[in-house]
Amino acid sequence: MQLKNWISEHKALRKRFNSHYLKGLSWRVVRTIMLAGLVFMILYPLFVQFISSIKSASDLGDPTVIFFPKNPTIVNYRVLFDAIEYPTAFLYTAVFNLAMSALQIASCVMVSYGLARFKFKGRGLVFALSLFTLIVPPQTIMFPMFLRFKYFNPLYIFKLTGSFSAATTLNLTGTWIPFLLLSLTAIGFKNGLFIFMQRQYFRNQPVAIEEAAYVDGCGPFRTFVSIMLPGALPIILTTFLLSFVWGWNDMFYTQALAPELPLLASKMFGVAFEAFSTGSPVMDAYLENAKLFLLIFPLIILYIFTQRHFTESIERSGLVG
Amino acid sequence: MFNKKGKRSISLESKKAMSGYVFVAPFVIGFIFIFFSSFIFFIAMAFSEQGMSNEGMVLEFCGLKNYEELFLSNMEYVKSVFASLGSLLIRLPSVLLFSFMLAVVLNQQFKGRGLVRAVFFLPVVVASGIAASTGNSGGLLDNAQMMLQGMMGDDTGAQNITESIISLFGEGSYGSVLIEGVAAVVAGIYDIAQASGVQILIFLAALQTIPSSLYEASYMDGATGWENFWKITLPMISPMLLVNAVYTVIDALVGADNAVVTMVYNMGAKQTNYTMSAAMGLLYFVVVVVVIGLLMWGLSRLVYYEDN
Repeated sequence: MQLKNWISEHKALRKRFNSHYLKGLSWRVVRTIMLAGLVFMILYPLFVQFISSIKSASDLGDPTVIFFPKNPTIVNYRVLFDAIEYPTAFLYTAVFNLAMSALQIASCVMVSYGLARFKFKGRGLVFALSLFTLIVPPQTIMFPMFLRFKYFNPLYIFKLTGSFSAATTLNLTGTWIPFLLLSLTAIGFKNGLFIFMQRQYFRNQPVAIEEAAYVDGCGPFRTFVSIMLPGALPIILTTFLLSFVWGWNDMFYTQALAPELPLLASKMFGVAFEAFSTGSPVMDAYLENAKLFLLIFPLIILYIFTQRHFTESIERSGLVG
Repeated sequence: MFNKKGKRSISLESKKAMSGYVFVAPFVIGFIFIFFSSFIFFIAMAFSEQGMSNEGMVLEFCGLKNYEELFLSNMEYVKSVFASLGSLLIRLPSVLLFSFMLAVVLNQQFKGRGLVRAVFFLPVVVASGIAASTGNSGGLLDNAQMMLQGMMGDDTGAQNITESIISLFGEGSYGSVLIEGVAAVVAGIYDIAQASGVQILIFLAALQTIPSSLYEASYMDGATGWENFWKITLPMISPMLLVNAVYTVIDALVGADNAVVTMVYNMGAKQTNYTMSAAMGLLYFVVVVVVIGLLMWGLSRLVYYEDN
C-alpha cells in the first residue's frame, strides 16, 4: 500500500518536473536576470540624476555624502513649480498636445490607408515624399519654415526674397495656427514615420473583409471608418503615444514658431529662466535635473497607465472561420 | 461608357483611384504649400550668400561658392559625414536584433510586465526631454551639456562598465583582446538600449497584430516554436521590420544627437551663417536619401504583404 502510494507520488513528481517544465523554468530565470540587468542599466543614470535634484546646498559641501543626501530637499522642485505656474502650464500643454496629436494621427491614418489600399497614379511618389519629410531634420528646415509662416501666403511657393509685404502676407508666428496646419496636413514632427508604420500595417491586412464590405454596398469611407479602423487600434495608439511624447518635449517647433505659447517645455527651458540661477554652477545643474523630471514625469505616469490598453492583445473583428 | 441616363459611368478602378486621391489629399496639400515651399527656400539658401538690407536678410545667388568653402576650409564636416555612415554599419543590425528580441520577451506573460515595458520606453521620453533642454541657444546649453555629462559621466555608464570587466579578468593576463571585445559589447548594449525605445514599441505593436488563429492552426498541425517563428512571426512582422530598419537609419543619421546635424544646426543658430548651414544640410540630406533609398531597395523584396 505504502509502496503504491510512493510510486504514484513519484509519478506525479516526475510529471511536474518533466523536461518541458524545466525548460520553461530555466527560461524564466534567464529572462528575469536579463531584464533585471537591462532595467538597472537604464534606470541607474536616471536615478543618480533624480537624487542630485533633491540634494541641498549642505549636502554639496559634505564629503560623507556620496550618494544619498542627508538633507533631501524639494526646494528645486518648489522653485520651478511656482516660477512656471506648473498647473496652468501643465493643463495648457496637455490640451494643446492632445488636440495636435489627435489631428496628426487622424490625418496620418487617412493618408496611410489611401497609400496602402488604393491604386492611383503617383502613389509611389506620395509615399516617397512622406518619407522625405521624415528624412529632412527639423534643425535644417526650421529657418525657412519660420520665414514661410512669418510671411504666410500659400501661393508664394517659389517666392524667395524681396517683396514680402505685410499687405499680401499673414504673420502666423506666435500663434498655434502653424501647429494646426502642420498637424492637419500630416507633415508635423516625424509624421512620416507614423504614415509609414500605418501603411505597413494596412498593407498586411487581408483584403477579403473590405471586398465583402464593398460588395455589400459600403463606400470606401465607411469601410475605412467602421471596418478597418477598429482593428488598427493598437497601431493607432502606438503612433499617438509617440506623437504625444514628442510633441510634449518638442522645442524646435515651439521655439522657432511660437515661443510665446505657455507650454511646459518652453516655460521650463525658455531663455528668461536664467533669473533663477543661484550662481553656483553645480546647484544650477541640480536645478536643470529637476526641470527634466518635472517635464517628463507626467509622460511616464501616462505610459504606465495606458500601456496595457494598447499593447494587450485586442481581439480583431477579422475573418472568422 | 454611358449608362441609360446619359451620365458617364466610371469603372470601379478609376473610382477607387479617385478615393485614393481624396485619402492622401491632406498630405499632398500640406507638402506642396508648406513643406515643399520651405524646402525650395532651403535649397536656394544653399546656393546663396546672405546679405543685409533695410528690409532684413536678402539672398544673393553665388553658385557653388558655399561648397567650395565647405570642402576647402571645413575638414570636420567631411570627416563627420563619413564617421556617421561608418557607425551605422554596427548600429543598424545591433539595434534591430536587440529591439526584436526585447519585443518578443516583453510580449510574453510575466509579473511586472507593465513596469518593465515602461522602463524600456523611458529612453524615448528622456532623450526627447534632453533634446528639448539642449534645443535652445545661450548659456543654458552649457548647463544641459553638463547634465548630459552627469548622466553618462564618471560614476555611471559605458566607460565604467568596460573598465570593471577588464579589471575583473585582470589586465593583459590572457586573451585580453577577447575580453576587451566582450567589454566593448557590454558597453555597446547601453548605447543600443538607449537607441531602441521606439523600435521596441513598433515591434511590440507588430507582434500584437498577428492573429492568434495562425499560431493555433500551426499548433494543431504539429509545428514547433522554431518553425512558427520562421513561417509565421517573421513574415508577419516583416513590414514593420522594414519600418524599423529605415527608422533606425534615420534616427542615427538625422537625429538631434548626430554630429553632422549638430554642426549644421550650430552653423545656423550660433554663428548665424544660415546659407552655409543650408549648404551643409543639403549635401548631407542628399547622402542620407541615397543611403535610405539603397536600404529600402534592398529590403523591400524581403517583405511579405498580405495584399498581394
